[in-house]
Parts: sequence; C-alpha cells; structure tokens
Amino acid sequence: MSDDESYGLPKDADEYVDIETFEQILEMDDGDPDREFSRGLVFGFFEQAEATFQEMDARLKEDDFDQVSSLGHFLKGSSATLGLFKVRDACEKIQHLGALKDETGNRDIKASEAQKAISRILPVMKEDYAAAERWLKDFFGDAEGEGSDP
Amino acid sequence: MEGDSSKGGSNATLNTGNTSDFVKKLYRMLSEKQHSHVVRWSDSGGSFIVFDNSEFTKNVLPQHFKHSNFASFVRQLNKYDFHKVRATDESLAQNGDQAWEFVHPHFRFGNDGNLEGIKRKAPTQRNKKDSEEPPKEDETREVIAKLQARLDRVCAEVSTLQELYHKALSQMRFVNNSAYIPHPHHPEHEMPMHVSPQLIAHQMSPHGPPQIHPATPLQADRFMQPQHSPVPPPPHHPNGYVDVNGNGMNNVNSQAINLSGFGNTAAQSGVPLHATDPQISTTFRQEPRRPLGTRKKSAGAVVPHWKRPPKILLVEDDPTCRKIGLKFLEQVGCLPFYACDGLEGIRKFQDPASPPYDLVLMDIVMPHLDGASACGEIRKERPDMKDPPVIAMTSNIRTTDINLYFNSGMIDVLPKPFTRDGLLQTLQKWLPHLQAGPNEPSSKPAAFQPPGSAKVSNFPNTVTIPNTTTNNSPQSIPITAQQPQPPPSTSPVLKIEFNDNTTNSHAEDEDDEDDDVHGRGGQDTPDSSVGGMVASSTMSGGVSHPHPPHPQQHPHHGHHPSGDYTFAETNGPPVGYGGPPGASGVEGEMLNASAGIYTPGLVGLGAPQPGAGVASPRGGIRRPLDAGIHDEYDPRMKRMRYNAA
Repeated sequence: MSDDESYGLPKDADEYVDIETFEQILEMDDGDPDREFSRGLVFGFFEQAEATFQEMDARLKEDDFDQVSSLGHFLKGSSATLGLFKVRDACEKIQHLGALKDETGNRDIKASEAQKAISRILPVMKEDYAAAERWLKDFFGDAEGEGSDP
Repeated sequence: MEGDSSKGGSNATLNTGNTSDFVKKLYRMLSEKQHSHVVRWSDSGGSFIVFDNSEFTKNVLPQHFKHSNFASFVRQLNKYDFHKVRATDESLAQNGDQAWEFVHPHFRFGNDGNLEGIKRKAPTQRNKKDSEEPPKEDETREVIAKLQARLDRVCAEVSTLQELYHKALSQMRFVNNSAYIPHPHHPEHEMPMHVSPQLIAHQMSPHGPPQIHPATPLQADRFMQPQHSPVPPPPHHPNGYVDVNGNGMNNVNSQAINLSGFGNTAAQSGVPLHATDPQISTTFRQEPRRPLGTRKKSAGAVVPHWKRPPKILLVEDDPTCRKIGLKFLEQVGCLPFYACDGLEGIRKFQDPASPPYDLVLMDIVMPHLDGASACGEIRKERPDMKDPPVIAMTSNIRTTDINLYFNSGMIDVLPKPFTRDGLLQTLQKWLPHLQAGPNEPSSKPAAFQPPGSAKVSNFPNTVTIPNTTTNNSPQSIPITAQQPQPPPSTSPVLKIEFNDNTTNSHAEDEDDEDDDVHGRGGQDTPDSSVGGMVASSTMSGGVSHPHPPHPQQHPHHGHHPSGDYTFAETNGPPVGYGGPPGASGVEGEMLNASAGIYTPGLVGLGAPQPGAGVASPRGGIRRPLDAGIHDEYDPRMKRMRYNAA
C-alpha cells in the first residue's frame, strides 16, 4: 500500500519491521528530515526494551512467571507500536508462557514447561531485537547511539 | 535461465541482479515443490495460485517472507503490480473457492529473465493526485467523472440549501427576539428575509409576524451571498439560542436536529461516499479510494475540524505507546493529557483542577490499577457511559475481554496497536458533538467553511431587520429551553446510531483484498465518519454558534470559528444526528419544518440520484449495541497481526 520509497526505507525493511506500522510512525515526523519524533520514539524504545530484557531475565531466574508475563505484555505493546514484529511475537509468546499457557495462550502448561520455553525464546528474541536495533540505528543514522555500533 | 521447472529456476533467479528481493523470493517460493498443494504456478504458467490461504499464511509465508500476514503479502503483490485474477465459474470449479490467483505480465513460470521487469509501482500517486488514475482504468475514470459531476451538483444544492436555511433561521431568530438590537451596518440586509410560508406557518403561527414576505426559496436565492452562510450569533448575544427555541421548540437540541436533517439529506445523495473530486475536503477524499481500488494514503492529511480541540485523557503505562498515542491525538487536533496507570488516571480524571475530559483512552493492562477497574471507578461517579466515553485500548480483544470492558463501563474498544486512522475513527464516533464540518468542497468554500471571525461578526447583519418586527414576540413566546442540559442527557437510541454508523463500514473491508487498501487499521475511518461529518458540517456551517474562543483552544485550530460549541456541548451529544426524517416529536417536527422550507431543494437532494443513498441508511439503521461489538471488531481482529488463536 504505502510506498517504502517515500520514507526512504531500505529494501530489507520488512525483515525487521512491519512496514505499514513503521511508516505510520515515520509519518508522524511530518517531513522532518531529522525524524526527531520517530527517532526519539525508537531510541526510547531501545532503552525500554533493554531494561525489560534484564528484568525478564531476573524474574525468570526467580520463577516469577507472573512478572515475566506482564513484562512480555508490556514490551509487546511498544514493539507492536513500532512494528517490530519479531519482538512483538516473541513477547506475546512469553506473555502466554508466563501465564502458564502454551505459546498461543490456549492450553495450560506446567511451570517447568514455561521455564523451558521462555528460556528458549528469550535469547532468540534478544537476537532478533539486536538485529532490529542495528537496522533501526542504521536507518536513523545512529545519531544518538554513536560509537556503540559503528 | 530457462525454466527447468523447479530447482534450476530458483538458482538462476538469484543471479538476476536487478530483480527485487520480493520478486526473487516469490519466484523461489513457487519453484519449491513441497508447497505445491498450497501455492503453485497455474497450469498455464502465466499466473500463480494460492490454494489454501491459511496454510499458506501459516507455513509458506514465514519461510519465504519472514512474516505470516497474508494481507501484507497481497499488498506487496499489488505494489509490484500483480493483480488478482477474478474468479470465474471455471476457475472456481478448478481451484476451489478459496483460491487466490495472481498474475503479472512478466511473471511467468520458467521465464525468470523477465523478472527484472517487475518493479514496484511508482511511488505516491496516492498522495496528492489520486484522481489521476492510470490511463488503463478508463472505466474508473468514467465513474469518477460521473460521481464528480454529481457531487458538484449535490454540493451546489447543499450550499444553496444551507444559505436558505441560515437565512430562514436568522429570520426566525429575529422575529422572535425582541431583545435583539439590529446592527446598523449592512443595509442590504435590513430587509426582512424571505422565508417560506410553510416555515412561518409552522414555526410562528401563534405570532405570525406580518412583516415577513413569503417567498419561495428560489426567490431567497437572490440574497445568497457567501457572508450569509454560517453566521452564528456573536458571543455577546446570548439570546441567540433562545430565539430559536422560542419558536415553540422544546429544546435547543432541535437546532442540531434540524441540521442533521440536512446532513442526512446530503449523505443520501451520496456526497461523502463517492466524492472523487480531488478538491474536495480531504476527509471526503479519503473515501473514493477504497471503492476505486486506488492506492490509499494513510489519513495523514486528514485532520478533522473540531469545534474545539477535544480534551482526551490517555491512560497508558507504556511510554512508547503513550508517546505515539499523544502524538496521534495531537495530530488529529486533540488536546491530549495523559496518566501512566489506572490510579493516576482516576486521580487526573477526578481532579477538579483537571479540565473536563471529553473522552478517555484507557489501556487495560497497567501496573497499580488496570484500565477496566479504573473505568469502573470512574463510572461509580459518572454512570453514564458517554460521560465521558471511556475507550479501552488493548490487544486483548477476545469476546470475554471485551465483555469485561463493557461491563466495567467502557463504551468501545480500540485494538492495539492502534493506528492513527483507527484512533481518529473512534474519536469521531464518540465525539460527534465536537466535530465541526470537514473541509467542505472547495467549489463552495465560502458557503460552508466556518472561516472564523469574519462570519461570526457578520452574523448580526443577516438578522438585521426593522425593530418593529420583533416587538410582538417576546412575552408571548415561552422561553423554556434556556437552561442547558447536562451532557449526560443522552438517549440510548443515539448511542446505537453512532455505533452503527461506524459498524457498518467494515463490510467493505471484506472483499477488497486485491486492492491495495486492505489491512490498514483505519480503513473505515472516512467511510464511517462522513455521515457524521456531513451532519456536523452543516451544523458548524450553519447554526453552530461559536462563542469566544475556548481558553483551551488548541493553537492548531486557531483558524477555526473559534468554536466553543456550547450549544452542542451543554446539551449532550447532538441529538439530532443520524435520525432520518421520521424521528419523532420535536425532531420530526423540525425536520418537517425544514422540509417545508426547502422542498424544491430537498427534492433534488433527497431524491436518490444514480447510485446514491449509501451513507445515510447507516445513520438510520438501529442495532443493539451488543450486536455491534463483534461486527465491529472482527475485521480489525483480522487485521491485527497478533496470532492469538
């Protein structure tokens, strides 16, 4: 529908973000070449995501699945808002698993299963996230993350 | 490079330098045999067919395109100028009715040399010049031309009617308002307006002022000048409303009723739904895209015209969502406020220092207090679900969840992640009383637009009529409706109508998959809103009575008729909206009255013109709220990319 070109999205954008959603964010810049708004949003998300990951790790260690689930929900919302679909999907799974349901939220599972499944998903999600972060920083010119990812 | 059926083809494809990734992936996908029961080349090799949509979405898409969103896939195809092949009886028999067949002239089995020829379509014809259809779409053009012509006609008629209406209204006001002291300027208006005899008879029979010269609307045409149009009384003439109400109407709302009569009429003639004139208001312009299958632009350019910026409280714990939400709100002309969790939400809501919020957007899952509970608290004090409306924002939109929200006093659900369009749609749905007119068709801008002070100050002129005329009415006319009613005074019927107005629009979403437009969150925004917009446009254009700028006036809207629409505001939601003639009591009376005035015009408007009559029925259909819920959200659920079973 929308044209990636109009926002200068690289060709591989759809590997990282849901184009439509992401463009909607970019649209909010109203043509600002510095993309101040979307950049702020995205970089704010980075912080949020990293903090959430740490928190997830910590809670998972404590078997505090409730918290893990709610952290999953939390990050799901913001990743979905930005169109980071891989993170979003993983978060949704974590949300369900933390609630001691299977990935799709339909079937009850045991805590041990949840523990296992979350431990499996978390690292993948972090990788996906890292890839998306690199891509996003690249896209935004990494003005704020200078140095961290040359 | 020759198409040796499967594997070779795919390798070769990879080497074609300029071919886009998407096309390569597509070709590669089709070269793999293991999915052939799900997706494969057609027998002719000139197209490919997805046989099992869900299987394809679940298993094949992720492998090749890293997502599992069929709509997105289709959009990509469209972007590359693939077209869906319309099913024929034959193809249905052969492939089943679930099959989706796509074709591109250069995309052929065994001929990957042509793939480079498959390019993205040129960017953004969607943006500004949507009316320029590709030349091949002659048919579409023809339709557009016809619609345009009709639209022009209708707009002209509407504006004529509005002029007449305002004139009559001013006249009525004047006739009944002894307190009103005419302005000395503008001598050309110091004659009695011409008002149709029916109206006079209807409205003023007890005190029928002899000075009024009965005239047909056509005669009144002579007086039509742009500055007549929406000319509300200046703020220092509080009696402006009373006059009107003095005419035996029970309630100030009747004004809105009257107007919405107009709005409906306009809608009936199909103005909003088929507006294609690129010069037409952006809001209208949205509409044609879907039916015509042209590219759609997100509603970026469309900002509704509020009578004053709606004050929205956004309760959301997630900073990213909050930022984007606030930004969206700002961009659609609202005055956003926020709270970071349910507790803070309640606090801000109840804080006497806070402004009265027009609407609350409430996240559900939040720390400290969830959104549903927070809404429950709010409803303890403000039991009316529309006072103000609380909208759940959530990705949990299963039936049970939704029931919970409704039970806690929320009135609607905005699925997350919400889109700007979706948000706008919701706002328009629940804040119809704050909507001013959309940009009116520019062919008649002067007639409709409420371009602010000029008209406001002009108002008195139109009412300037010899003093003597007014003297007989004041004592005899009971001025009953002077005290504004509180907003909660809403009728359940209206809720339903509003709801329904939006509900219906999802129908279009169902069968447009081969158009580019599918799957954007706010697809139905323009559609569902136009009815309301038309109605309210007439309102603002016509009888809205702007008052001094609201202190909270959003700077973006400084150009607006500084419309603090106390009239609608104090009387709750625009009671008049949506009710087609036939509304009972005062409404019906008023509608009839106006019909009486403008009969000639109304015939033109109301008579179904070719293919018209799309919008208005929506306003008229009444369906229970509950029934609406599912209808309403089903399409969005589909659109949501969550895979929650």
